Amino acid sequence: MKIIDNIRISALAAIIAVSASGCRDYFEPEYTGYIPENKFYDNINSLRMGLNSVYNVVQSKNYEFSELLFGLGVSDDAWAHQDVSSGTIPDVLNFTFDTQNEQILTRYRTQYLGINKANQVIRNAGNIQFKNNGSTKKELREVYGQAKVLRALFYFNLVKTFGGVPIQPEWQELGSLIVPRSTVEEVYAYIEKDLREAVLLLRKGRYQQGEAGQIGVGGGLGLLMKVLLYQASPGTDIPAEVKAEKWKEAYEIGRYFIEGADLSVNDLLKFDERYTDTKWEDFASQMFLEDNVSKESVLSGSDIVNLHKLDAFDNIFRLSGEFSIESLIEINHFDFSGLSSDIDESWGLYNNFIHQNESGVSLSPVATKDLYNTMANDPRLMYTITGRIYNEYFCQEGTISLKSHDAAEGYLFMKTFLFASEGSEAGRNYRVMRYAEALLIYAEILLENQEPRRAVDYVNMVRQRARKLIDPSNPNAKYNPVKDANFKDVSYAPYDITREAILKEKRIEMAGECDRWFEVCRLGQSYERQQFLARNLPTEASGKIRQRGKHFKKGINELYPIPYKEVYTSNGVIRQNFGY
Amino acid sequence: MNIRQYTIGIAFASILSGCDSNSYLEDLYVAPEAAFTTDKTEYSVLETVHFSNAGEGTSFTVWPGNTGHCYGVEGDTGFATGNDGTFAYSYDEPGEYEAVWVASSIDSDKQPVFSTAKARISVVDRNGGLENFVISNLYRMREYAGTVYFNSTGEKVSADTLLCPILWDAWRSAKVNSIQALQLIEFELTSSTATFSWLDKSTGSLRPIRSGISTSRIVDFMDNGKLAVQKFVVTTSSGNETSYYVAPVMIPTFTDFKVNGVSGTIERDIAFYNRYSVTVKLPSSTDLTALKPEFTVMNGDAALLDGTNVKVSIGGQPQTSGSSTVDFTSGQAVYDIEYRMAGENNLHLVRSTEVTVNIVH
Repeated sequence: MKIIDNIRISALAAIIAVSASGCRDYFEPEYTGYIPENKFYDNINSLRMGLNSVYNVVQSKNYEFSELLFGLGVSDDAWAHQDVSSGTIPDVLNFTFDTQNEQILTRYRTQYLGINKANQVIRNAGNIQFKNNGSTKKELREVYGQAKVLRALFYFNLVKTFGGVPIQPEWQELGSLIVPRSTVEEVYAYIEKDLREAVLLLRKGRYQQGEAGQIGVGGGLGLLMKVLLYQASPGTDIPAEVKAEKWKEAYEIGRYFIEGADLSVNDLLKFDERYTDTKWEDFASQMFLEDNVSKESVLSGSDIVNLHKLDAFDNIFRLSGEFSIESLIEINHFDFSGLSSDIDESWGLYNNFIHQNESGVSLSPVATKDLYNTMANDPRLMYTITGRIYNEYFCQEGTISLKSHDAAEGYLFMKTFLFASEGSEAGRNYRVMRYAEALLIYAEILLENQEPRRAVDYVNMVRQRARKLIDPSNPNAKYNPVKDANFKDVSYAPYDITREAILKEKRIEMAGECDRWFEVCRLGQSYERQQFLARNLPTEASGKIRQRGKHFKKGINELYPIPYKEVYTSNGVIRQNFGY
Repeated sequence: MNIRQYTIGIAFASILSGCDSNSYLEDLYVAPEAAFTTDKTEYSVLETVHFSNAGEGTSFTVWPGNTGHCYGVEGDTGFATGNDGTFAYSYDEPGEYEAVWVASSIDSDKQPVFSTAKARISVVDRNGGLENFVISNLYRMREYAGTVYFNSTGEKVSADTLLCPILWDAWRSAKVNSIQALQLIEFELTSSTATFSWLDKSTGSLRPIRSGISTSRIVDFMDNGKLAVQKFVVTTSSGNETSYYVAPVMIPTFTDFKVNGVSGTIERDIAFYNRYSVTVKLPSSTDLTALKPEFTVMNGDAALLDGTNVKVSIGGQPQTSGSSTVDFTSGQAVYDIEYRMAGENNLHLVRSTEVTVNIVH
């Protein structure tokens, strides 16, 4: 069987392969007009180009809009004009879609596009002719590690959305392009393996200035903690005994990343336990490790613990806050508008929110009153949500006139607000993960490891950062209606009270950042929260009646359907989710 | 090879070969004849219904007949079957549904031709269950910032039994809406059409509670002066009944602890419901090697205790108030209190507390 090594394969290329399965001769002639992968990827710069193409997927309109729609739009934090419209987006928002919904297909397809691009980088890293002087090998490891983190991110998005999905082999054969679905547990194991290996490979530092926009070890560790958290969470379809083990593993990683405890390579990889068929020497060679690295080597926590910190909350979402020390994964966007370019990069996540004097496009989510009320008396409120009366803070560079207040209760998300001096939204970066989220994940991990006091300490670390917004030394404090006396630390308390405090803190801290729906799902609260929406439907100015939450089917809609095309073309190999 | 697969194969062949003739449509046209089967006619809620083609045609659509998917209703949608002519679906509400199967083919004029068939599908709710249960607002805990109440969330200890751990302070301070009398509860059922009721022991009859998520209702957990397991029943719309037993189990604690007649100060760890400390101040001249502490568990409350269902130990060694000797020369001893609600042999309805006793001078 001929190995395909020169073409990009998307999951849906399977359509062609299956349709033409009786016509294999058609593909037999030798390929012409191409450069074989092993010749294209023969130096580190080519591999970097491959990696850039993976980043391009995360930066694309399809990816970022999908995160907005599925992560925030459907959640209990957001309403939209589209709630009362018709079409593929309203169908997703209202759970009235069918298995041919274009938004669901795009989400599925975009992740596999990224996976296949990442696979190209990963499978060709071994072809690179590097100078064996250490430095080039290090560069290769960093590129390789980033491809693994990005592949893990795509699979994570898939498993959160669809449950167990097909794991595409790094090397694909023409006759076996259709891969059956793996279980949720198997997909998570694959993701976790990628991330654990990536942590070993990624730069033990931050990429700054001209290098910014790449994922360093902080991004790998933050995502690994999140993946372990999701596996351990009640809403994830994984056996209880595995969940218990994941809480312990998450604690181990959190201690390394957040507290700076040392970690052996074996403990990071679980090499003795999970690589039983692999010799260390072979593994080290595949990972381009230096000769002096063994599984007994110790990774020093002191190299990691100070890489990331909480930054000023009133700056991290501004233009000047891009690539902040708080960013773990941040996708670079560049405004090409002045260059008369049609590059996709000019489309940003921010386009969908309400900007100064603009109405937003496509979705334009606005905050629910419930979220607004949850944040009442919190200094972060004015930087996160605004009502119809604009805080003077936002008028510093002139009068503003935001639109879409007629959507639902009219609370606009403000983390994406653009001051006039900040240029256009086209150049604004997409923050995928921040250190504050890692701290709150660690708080939950500590709690589940019977350390409620320390869990509360990390919640209060995030709250103390928020309190700086109203510290007299902060020039913006004068705009903030919240007073210090109203914003207190969380008390030490038993498990249930502390858990509620952590989850509330996370909802507030991350409001409007495209993660809420998946958070609610992992907690097993999706039906409850959809029911909450259904009981609190605001009227639209147009008079149309919202239906959000009313069509959500418990036991079915926690996962979206595998796109019909994928099931159809697989001839039943890829099974549909329950209830679709 | 059935006719549908054959048609698809030809269609692709024609695309690949650049064939522009439509004559094969005439040859291959088969008048659609809708017919389908399901594996049975009565299903449970959320049980998978397998629809299978039993007729003729080139493509098939299923209209399950529930809300949003009724054939002939404007705005409703049907589902295309797989290319093997099968389709799987599940209904989330009980009821009688008219499922419609639409078979279609393209005739030689390239016009679609349809045929429909119908069947009734009965969906019943047999699996109604109790998903969540909380005894709520038991006690306002003023030690925490804001307005925080102790809520006891049920933990499943067997298929039909839930354990609700109860903080001693909630029991001791019981007044209105307390566990000693009438209690607020919140619950969630697996089916939105099922109903929930509790057994009123005074009358022996089931008293319905309007079902729904986060619904609060008042229920009496007491039985002849004792805190008792309370029976609840989930009744599905089909009439099936499932019984659940909710046990409010005390998290035990010392309510009195004396050494040499000196009472200790008892405090709960603010971060745990089942960790306490006792501090006893004794004269510096006290010989700490063989003290005989006297202690009382949960005030000896007859509503909770039967004389056998509390065990106190240190490092696994049973302790008896006023007679067991303890060496306090290290200044500390850690007691374990185990409480079994339904008697000493009950393995499920158990709660334990760790109490650290500190002797100071």
